[in-house]
Amino acid sequence: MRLAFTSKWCKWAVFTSVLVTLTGCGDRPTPVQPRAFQIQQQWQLEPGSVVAGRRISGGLGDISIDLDGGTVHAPFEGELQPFQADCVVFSSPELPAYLLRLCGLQAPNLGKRREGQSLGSGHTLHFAALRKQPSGQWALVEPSKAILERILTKP
Amino acid sequence: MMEPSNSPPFNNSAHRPSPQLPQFTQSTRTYSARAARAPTKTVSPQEMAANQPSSQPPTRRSSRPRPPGGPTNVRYLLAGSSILAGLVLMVDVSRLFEPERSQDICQEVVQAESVLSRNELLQLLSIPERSARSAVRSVVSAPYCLMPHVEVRAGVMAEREAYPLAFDPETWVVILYEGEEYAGYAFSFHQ
Repeated sequence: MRLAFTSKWCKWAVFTSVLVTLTGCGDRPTPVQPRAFQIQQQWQLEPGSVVAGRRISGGLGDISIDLDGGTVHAPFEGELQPFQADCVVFSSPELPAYLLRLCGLQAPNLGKRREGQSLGSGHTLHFAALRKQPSGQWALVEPSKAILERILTKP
Repeated sequence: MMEPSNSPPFNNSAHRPSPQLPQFTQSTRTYSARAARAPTKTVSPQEMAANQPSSQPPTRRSSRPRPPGGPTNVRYLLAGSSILAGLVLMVDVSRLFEPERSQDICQEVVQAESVLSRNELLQLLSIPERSARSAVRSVVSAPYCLMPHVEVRAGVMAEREAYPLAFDPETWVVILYEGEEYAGYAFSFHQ
């Protein structure tokens, strides 16, 4: 009878474990969906292209920054999504009409990011700002010093 | 039953150099009592009775073999801690450690009653980017607030205005202008 009592407790423990597995893992974040958009300027060589067996890491329109292992921070509250090649795209509801493309980050922190949180780090960052066009395409524009300072310094 | 040969735990302790098993099977009080008695190879019935837990009849305790899965107390501990862990995990612990939403997006409130109606929103969405600022202002009223200016494009200062939706006050529409040009909008969800 005592054996039955303890095995009942063991059943409860197993039941609880299953419940924990089902509910506790239910909130695990889903993989971040890649961001797809068309860039207005189209060139032969873009980040991710290959020429003579070498991969293009930055294209026309990028500002290349020597990060030297440093960290890049979210300039606003927003979301970091995968893009093409080793590039990611940051978008923010606080910054309409703009996308920030970052290539060269190692293990970027994808997903929702709060202002100032790390987006990732790397050796060389290739940064591009894109502005929305009436056609729905995005045009590469010259990024300001202010926005670069904002992503390179922790607030 | 009263003889040492019929009570395995006590009999074992007499022949073992170190009483390891009792550390896990008996209460501390019982163990210390037995440790003090270790040199003695016989146990009187009175002592045995005193060492039995009061809730268990002495006959069952001494004659019944131990369950193979281990001591009962450990099982209770495992079951209890599993349930406790389950309860803790069912509450989403990660939310407790999330920082508060960053400060209010507004820098300066313009018109505290300003909201964007469904109709105004529809008209706003139909305005193409890079239209004149006046085209937007003709369909929306003064904003609820102004957000800090921001320079994304070199040499161009962007102005941002925010409106809560009349039919969903948790959702705000942010409109960005550059000079006299309307650049675009975005939805901001306040938690």
